[in-house]
Amino acid sequence: MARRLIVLVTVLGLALTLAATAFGASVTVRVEGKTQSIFGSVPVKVSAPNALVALDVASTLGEFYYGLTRTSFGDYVSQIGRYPGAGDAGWVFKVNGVSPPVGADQVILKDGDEVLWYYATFGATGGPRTLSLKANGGNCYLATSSDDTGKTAAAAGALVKVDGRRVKANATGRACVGGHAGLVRAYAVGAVRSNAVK
Amino acid sequence: MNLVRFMAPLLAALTLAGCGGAGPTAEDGTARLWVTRDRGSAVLVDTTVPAGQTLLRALRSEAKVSTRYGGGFVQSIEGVEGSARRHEDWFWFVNGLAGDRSAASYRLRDGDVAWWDYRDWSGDADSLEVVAGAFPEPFLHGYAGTTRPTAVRYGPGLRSDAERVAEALATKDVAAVGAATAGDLNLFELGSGSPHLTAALRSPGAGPSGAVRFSFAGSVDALLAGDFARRFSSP
Repeated sequence: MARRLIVLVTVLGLALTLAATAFGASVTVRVEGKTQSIFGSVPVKVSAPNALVALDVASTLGEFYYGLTRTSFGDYVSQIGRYPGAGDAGWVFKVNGVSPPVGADQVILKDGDEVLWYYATFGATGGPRTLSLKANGGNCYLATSSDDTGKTAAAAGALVKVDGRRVKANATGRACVGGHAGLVRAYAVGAVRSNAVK
Repeated sequence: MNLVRFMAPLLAALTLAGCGGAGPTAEDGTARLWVTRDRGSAVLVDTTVPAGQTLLRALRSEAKVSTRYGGGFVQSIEGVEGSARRHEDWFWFVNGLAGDRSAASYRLRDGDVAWWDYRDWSGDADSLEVVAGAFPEPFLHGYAGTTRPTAVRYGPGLRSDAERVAEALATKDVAAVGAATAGDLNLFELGSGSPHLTAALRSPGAGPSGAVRFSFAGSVDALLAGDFARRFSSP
């Protein structure tokens, strides 16, 4: 009897796990291309069980192309939009600012996760930092940058742009842009542009 | 494991088995000879032998060997006996590729890595077609004197590592994953993630002349230094 109960609980647990996988988590997606945003500069909410499905859903909503290549490492995203990975550049992703050490189809997402796909040009020290921007009171914004491990630092000196004008962020990554109508974003040389904020 | 099925190719190979042919000359070059147990974990012989002779003759010159079935099937090396009942036998690889004939009818070429390993074959007698531990073989010397062109493909950020591997494999075909890759090329894929080195045939069942696919993540320094020598796969 006890054994039967264990089996039942196991089966139930497995069923719940599978169900969670099938329905996916509620996450946001943003896709940053080589020269401009491809999808969700203001991150878009989608339902996806893993980072690869998140890209697939985004490609449907945004009508953009992405290409997969089957490798011994699993399915690789070899192209998004116009540009395939080549030379020192390729398509990579982060979840909550961190580059996972496994393939996109193996990263199980949970509610609230932030998925970022981006075109990365690699140098001697690794991949580019990724910028993130949030409102910081009044007409001020705070820019931060993350490395591949998710370690975050103030994006000092980043350029915060809105309505065709630019303001340099101070040592703490803060920039006050004054009254504006458009979306605000942060840029820095060698880093992936930030999300857009109202 | 069906014993009849297992023995059939061996018996077929016996009818083709020669007696070793003429002796090697200096022009034939040299081959490497390894004799190991349990998937390379214990090394019995690691030496250089003249090429131009058969694999069996090279083995006999360096170790005590007994044969069965008319002399083409190696029964024991240095007293270690094969046993169908225990599912343990001696198997040979050239340049990491599992042999398709009697060792008495494979003629060693210059640069070949000839590898005898004694193992429990109950799980993989049919499926184990190529092993990684002869790297950079089979990319450089192929099988039975026939080599294939090699393509190196790499994941984001691994270009310089890939170029070092390509140099060791004597190929200029290096590109990011996603670049067109013909199905008959030997393929070396370099990715990120948990460190490993594995080898497989691109078309399972193609035999030792088939194209291979190696998959690697980890330190290229360690790979090129030979840290994976005589291991079937890693981890």
